[in-house]
Amino acid sequence: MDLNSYALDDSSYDEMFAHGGDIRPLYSALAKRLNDFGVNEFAARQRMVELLLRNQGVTFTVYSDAAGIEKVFPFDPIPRLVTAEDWSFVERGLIQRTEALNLFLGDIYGPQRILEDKIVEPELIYDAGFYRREMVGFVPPGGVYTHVVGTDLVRDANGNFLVLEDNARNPSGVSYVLGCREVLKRVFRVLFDQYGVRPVDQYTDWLRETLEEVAPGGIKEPNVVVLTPGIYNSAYFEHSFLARQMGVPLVEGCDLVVDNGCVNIRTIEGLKRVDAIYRRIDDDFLDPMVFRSDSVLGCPGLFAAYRSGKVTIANSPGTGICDDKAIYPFVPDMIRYYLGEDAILPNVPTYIAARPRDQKYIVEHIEELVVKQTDASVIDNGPETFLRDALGCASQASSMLQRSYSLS
Amino acid sequence: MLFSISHHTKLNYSEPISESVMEVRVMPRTDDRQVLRQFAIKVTPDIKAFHHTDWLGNAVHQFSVINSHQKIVISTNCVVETRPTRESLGELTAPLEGLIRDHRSRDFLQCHGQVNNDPTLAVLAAKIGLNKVRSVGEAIDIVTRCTRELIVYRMGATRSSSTVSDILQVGAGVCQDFTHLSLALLRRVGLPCRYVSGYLHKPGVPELQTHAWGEAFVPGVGWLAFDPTHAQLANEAYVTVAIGRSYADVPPNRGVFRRVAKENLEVSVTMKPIDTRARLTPYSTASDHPSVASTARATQPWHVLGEQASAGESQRNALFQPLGHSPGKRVLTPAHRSLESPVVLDLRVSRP
Repeated sequence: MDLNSYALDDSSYDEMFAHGGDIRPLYSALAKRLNDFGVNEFAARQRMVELLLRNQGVTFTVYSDAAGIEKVFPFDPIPRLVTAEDWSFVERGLIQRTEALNLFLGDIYGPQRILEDKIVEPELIYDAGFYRREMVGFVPPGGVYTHVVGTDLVRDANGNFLVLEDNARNPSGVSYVLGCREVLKRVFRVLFDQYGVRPVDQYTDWLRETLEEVAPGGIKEPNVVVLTPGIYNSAYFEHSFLARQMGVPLVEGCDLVVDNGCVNIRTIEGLKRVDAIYRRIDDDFLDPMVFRSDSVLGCPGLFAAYRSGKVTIANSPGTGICDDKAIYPFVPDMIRYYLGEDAILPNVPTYIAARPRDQKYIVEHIEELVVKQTDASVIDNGPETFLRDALGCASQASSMLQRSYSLS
Repeated sequence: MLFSISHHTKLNYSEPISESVMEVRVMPRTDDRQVLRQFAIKVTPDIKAFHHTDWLGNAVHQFSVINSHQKIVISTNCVVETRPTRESLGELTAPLEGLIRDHRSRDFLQCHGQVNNDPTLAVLAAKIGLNKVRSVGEAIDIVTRCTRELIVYRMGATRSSSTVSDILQVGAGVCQDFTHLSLALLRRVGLPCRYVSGYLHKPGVPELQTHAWGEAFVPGVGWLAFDPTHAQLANEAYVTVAIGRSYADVPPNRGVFRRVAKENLEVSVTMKPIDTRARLTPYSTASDHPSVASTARATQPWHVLGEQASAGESQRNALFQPLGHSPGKRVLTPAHRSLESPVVLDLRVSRP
């Protein structure tokens, strides 16, 4: 394996190589192993990885590709190493961040103190498509709205971890972690020898325990299900994988019916009560009586059963407001406001086009910035015209800009 | 005033259907103007109705009829005490200009859904002199009295899904439409206002329908009820059931069912004043109620709510009735699950 021709880029953080081209001490054993494989041997094993993934159905869907929409998950077998020390730092930061996001949700669907104290502008909440007013005045079990969060991390040029974005609605991807780890263990066993690699396979046990714990109180053995929109969904592999690993039924909306105040699954033995639903359907499609009335993917009456405390839905409806791009810049403020702490994991530096004080910076540094649109509806045309001038092209109102980092 | 109200909703289907899932908003609220003293709901076929409170603080009853059926009847009986109301708008001199609007009033300030901001509203507002008003009181007064100069009362001209534009196009509507139009006008001048569905007592009229009117938020006073259909402020004869941004937030009933059939809906409401000195006997048996004695079988249990405690915590200036919230910074505590309305008990009374 010839690592000499590998191109180094000094402006970003390289996992394996320090600035100047030396292999980082952490990676020296891995680099030696990779060197022991020839190019042909490595390529053969990579093909075996793909074959195993294909056979196990570890796929994802690309709707737009004419050649065929189902693709094998593209897995790069060279691992990225994260030390226990680094991980424990990241873990603390994620726990802190997730706690703040949940307190935020409880607040904006409740007393709305963060709006009264003028930390966040009310338009960002009220005009956001993901703000579900139907959740106002209701506290889910334990005050937990986001039972599963997918937070995207990047490393800056100095190797510090930053949060790129949160995904609190319907994050998918963990099944690829689990499926690919199994394949890696089989095909590249030797890579595991030098390092004490932590297992990941308890994830589904933890997920099941979490769902059972948030089920309505007083039930001895809560019934948990995974609710999927069906086989045409891009993440269907994950829905069925997780249900299978947890040992719980995988259901579609038509398998459920609300009777006697509770959600039930139709079985050949009759209706069986459901206590907690890990739902992989968007809010809009959950319940035709409350959200989109043309949805056939959901279960009528589900939301009423939820608000009555007869069933728990994970993640709660309405979490989209906390991972909204327009709210992202406020997360460090939330951590300070609700927890009285500084954020352990910082945001990527972000500038908001709608804010006059950020506009000067945006104009001066427009070349280095990534432009992202937010969901907020057009309130005024200020940001749009400003950006059009800055970028010399048309763009939507209320865009948000981030410093760009290459993902190492 | 004290009223005894019965509200019957009959749904008949042309073919047998199954898995009806329905929710109804039929339980009067308790607020500044009124107190719900007793309430009972009964569904035929014999099905238990569960209830929760929606985001606007309205009580929602939901039930499912799974097995094959062709008819559903929802009957409610309640006793409501209404308080004397403000008689004139004279003292409401707060200027519209510079009115401090809380972020919570956003939803009641924006023209949204059926209450859309039709372009001709500017002309109509000028026609009734709304563009010249300076104070909150004047605005409410003009809209209350003059909405019926803009459209005529006529049934069948509109539907429950009609928007303000639809109403203006036909120039006619029913109380729902008068209310939507009045809300659109008031929101244009920056006054938060909301849609109210409920009952209006008319002496000498035996059977009624439900009625709709509006409420405008006046700082320092609270929600002030006005009726643009009858061109008057709401008085003790008005009983509120539910509030929302428009009709779409408070449909009296909404549901889905399986199989294909045509639905026929009949609604009847009776409202009788009771002498305030009379002692209220709690609802315990179906046969105590003359209005339902003929339809209910004596063996069916009623889902009865006990006598209400007097509403100590009335919602003075609150725009919402938030439930189940623990104050303080850390909200991640064991679930605070008071999903029932704070002063109502749900007792199931079964027959021996």
